[in-house]
Amino acid sequence: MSRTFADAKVHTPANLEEALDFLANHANEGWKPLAGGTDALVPIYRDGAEPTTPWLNLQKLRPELRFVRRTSNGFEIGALATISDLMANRDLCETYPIVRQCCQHFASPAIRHRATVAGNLANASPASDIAPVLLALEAEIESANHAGRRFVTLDAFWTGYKATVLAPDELIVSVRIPHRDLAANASMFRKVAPRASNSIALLNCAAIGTRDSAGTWTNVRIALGCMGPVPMRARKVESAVEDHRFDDTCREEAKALLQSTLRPITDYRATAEYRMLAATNLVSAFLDRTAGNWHS
Amino acid sequence: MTQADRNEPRRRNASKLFYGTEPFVDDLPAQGDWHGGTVRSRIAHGRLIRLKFSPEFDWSQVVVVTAADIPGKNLVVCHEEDQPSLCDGTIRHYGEPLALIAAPDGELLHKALRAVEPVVEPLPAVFDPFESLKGETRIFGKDNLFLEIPISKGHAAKQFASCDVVVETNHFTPAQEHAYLETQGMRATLEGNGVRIEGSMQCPYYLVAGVARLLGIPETDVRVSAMQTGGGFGGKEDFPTMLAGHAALLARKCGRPVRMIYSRSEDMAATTKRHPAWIRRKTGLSRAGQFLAMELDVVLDGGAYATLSPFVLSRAALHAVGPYRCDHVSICARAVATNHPPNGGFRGFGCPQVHFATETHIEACAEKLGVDPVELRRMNLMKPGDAMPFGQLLGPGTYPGVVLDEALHRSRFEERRAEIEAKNRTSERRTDSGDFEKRGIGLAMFMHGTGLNAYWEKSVRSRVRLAATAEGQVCVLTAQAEFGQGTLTALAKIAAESIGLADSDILIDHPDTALVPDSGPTVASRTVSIVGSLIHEAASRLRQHIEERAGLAAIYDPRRLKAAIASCVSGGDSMVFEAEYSPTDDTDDANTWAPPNAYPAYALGCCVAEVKIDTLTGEIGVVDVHMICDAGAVVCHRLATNQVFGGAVQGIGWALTEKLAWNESGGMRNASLSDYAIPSAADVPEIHAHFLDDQHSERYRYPIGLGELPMEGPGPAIANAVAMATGRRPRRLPISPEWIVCSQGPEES
Repeated sequence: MSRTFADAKVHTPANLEEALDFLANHANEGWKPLAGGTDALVPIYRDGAEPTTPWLNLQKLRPELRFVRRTSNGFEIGALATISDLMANRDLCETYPIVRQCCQHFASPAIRHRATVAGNLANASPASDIAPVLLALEAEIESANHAGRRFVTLDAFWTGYKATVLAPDELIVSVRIPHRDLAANASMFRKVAPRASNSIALLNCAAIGTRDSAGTWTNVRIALGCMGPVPMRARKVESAVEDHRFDDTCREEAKALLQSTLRPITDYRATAEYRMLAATNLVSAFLDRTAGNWHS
Repeated sequence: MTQADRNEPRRRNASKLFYGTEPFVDDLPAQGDWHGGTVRSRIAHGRLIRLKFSPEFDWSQVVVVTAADIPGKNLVVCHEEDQPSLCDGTIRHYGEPLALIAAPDGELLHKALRAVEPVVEPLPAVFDPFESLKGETRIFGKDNLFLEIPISKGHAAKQFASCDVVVETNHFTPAQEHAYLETQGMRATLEGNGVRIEGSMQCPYYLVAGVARLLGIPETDVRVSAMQTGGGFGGKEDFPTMLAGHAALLARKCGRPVRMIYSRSEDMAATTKRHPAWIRRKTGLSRAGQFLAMELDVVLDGGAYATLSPFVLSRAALHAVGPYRCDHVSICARAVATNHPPNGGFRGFGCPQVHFATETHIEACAEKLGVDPVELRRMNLMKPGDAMPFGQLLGPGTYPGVVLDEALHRSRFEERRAEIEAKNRTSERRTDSGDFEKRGIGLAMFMHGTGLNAYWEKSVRSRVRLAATAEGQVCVLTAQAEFGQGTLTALAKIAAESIGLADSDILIDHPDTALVPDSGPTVASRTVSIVGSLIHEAASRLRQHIEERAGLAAIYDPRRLKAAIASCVSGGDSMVFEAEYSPTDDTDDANTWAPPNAYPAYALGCCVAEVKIDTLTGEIGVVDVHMICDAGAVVCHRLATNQVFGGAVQGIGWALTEKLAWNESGGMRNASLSDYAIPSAADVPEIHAHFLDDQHSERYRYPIGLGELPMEGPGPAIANAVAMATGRRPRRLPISPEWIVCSQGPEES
């Protein structure tokens, strides 16, 4: 059956200011920002849900919000930058190889052309592919409403399953990656999924850190997806290995800490037991690495 | 690809398909068409009390059809007469059609469908075939058994006692979604006293019979035109009969053309799947490795209605032992009713299931005996003249051993196996190396009898027609549908070569039952084999006629032949030639499901697969696949190679990525292509296709059929490769990363 969605309610502001004013005036009407639409529109097309949500179509904000650039403080990713835009930024991808690895495993080329980085974060899915990488890089969200702007660390951005700190009148403006990991000599991104591309993750894991020639780790940050209601940092493990060699004692401690931190669920895609085991294996494998530059 | 570099005709309609100008059913111009949709059950089993139509909706804008509107018999015509076209009061599966609605546009249809609420009284449902056989919940007949096929040869039960070694294993293979590119779609138009059907299908004449019966009109008043169809894989064998009936009922009620195009999620939730199979296999061997006795139980979950289950079961039973010799065999094959949506035809048709069991079981036998599984196979493979359990002798020129040797040679199997063994030993978890990979290589033999089984092939009475034109060209008229496999190209080539005309002088189009005779369904790898041979036969008549009438010289070229045909036609000669399938052998008349000479020929194959396993996550990747096929003459190497690639990919999906999940009502839970993971291009390894076809043997004069064969090898070959990599034998598909790394995973089903 071919549908036209003629009844769908859509408003298309001309610029960011207009969009924020509109939201300020219609804050309680449930307007939902529409960027790439690669997740937001699926329930309507696929499951036949009524298009009752009114859409705030952000397409005309592209001139203002579609960019990826380096500043003196780090990298700035505009809210309408797509996953393809990230991959196309050589500076960013060479500085942080995990960004490119993650993008390469993100859905399919067609979806990468439409899906936005900010949309992926705002969607607040525990299975987001880009979230663990940006968590590991300690990214921040810059958001705005008609009154002004604020910053929130990505770690504090999600408040629960599919929920964020964003108020109904607020839009993401940019995602910022601080210059914190320029010295890192090891990083890893792994997405575990039923197939090699165009797949929903069973779990994913991003890690970055610096290991000296004696094998001592510093500035380790580890983030995981699908291991709880929101993508999460494994902070206890990070602290345990900081300034340590990853010896057998440290390995056992890290394992125990991971298992006390992570809260994976069992669904028809995978069991909690499997998710926990695979996540533990991946984190251990990362920390087991010998010295030297290693990005995989 | 060297075999494909021959001077072959281009795929018919290739440029139209490439440029998107070849119409599929939903591309037909909307001539006032209304859109049809289906109200479906959300429960697995129960009584439909009534349909509640919301008073909020203006029902005068649409038409509604229920079972009460059916002028003929409320039936989806198939083998058993058990499936109603629209719910007859008892709901037997999730997604069962309860009523139909047509509306002027899709948006209104969508609203109307959401404004109907079925009022139901649920009954206990049964989803496990073994539970179902206890008969506590009645779905079909007295015992929920669609069909039981016993096959027995020798005295298996007695023989086990004298065997040196007895090995018994249980296997499970899952349901599989066809995932054809184009979803099911049909358009019905009132025409004269009857109805015209256009749509996506494999078997146009099935729809003629089905729609006529449903509407209570003569078959001559039903005209069916198969459109270019975007994939079938058996999923458009039986189901389109139901959809055509639905579109016709709506068209009749609203008095205008109605098109019904399923969305992907509706298609996945409502249409048939590959039969899940539970197979127990017990083999007694001599110390030397000879198969002395075998016992096999095959149970298929048929779902709520019989559809094609008896036919799938028959093929499973007839192929259950694989290409191996054994004098004492006892097979019990059963298709059982459950409250799942009906399962139906799917490429391989029961063979992938039994070959998976056989080829993984043999490895377990070899392990028990401490012998090389390749040698164990070689020792027991059939040769021409050897008898199968149901009595058929393997035909001349049919050498499974040759196929095995070719596969070992082309894949360097033994060398590669030794290399992998050595590598796996040295890369035992070295924590600092980053090497968390294990590899494995495995192989599997498989075979596929061509066409419907002898009884049914005979009962179809396939006919083809060739008709010459005044220009000296020849039309090929068959009911064979084109759904991507290259039917039109292959049949035209057979005609061109048999007649002696240039390929461009053969005219062939999508079948329209107003124009073509019934040459049977486009299924069972029978198109080039059975129908191709009829074209060859009709072509010989045409040639003979021309040679007699036109006084052609003994040697002539295509141009002179064309001129001679043209002059015959202009001279008033009708120049229509038919051929009808008529097997000479009458011995199979009584035996519907296991006729002694079941198939005229068997295609053979061997698949070698190499896998890599990530020991951290258990992820399995297929890195290399060799497919050696012996399917008689290969009509078009390029198309045949594509069949092998496609079949191998579908086999890889079945083995590894495609995990069909059920909801609590027994319907498909992951009915979307994002949640049900068919392999992506990134999952597809290098596939090497090779055909045994260039030998000077009678076997390679005619095609045997290749449509299904390549689907049947990858499952067991991958399982055997995984067993080598992990040291544990998968007994169930799909093999999950979870099973690999979680030590508690079930080894036996």
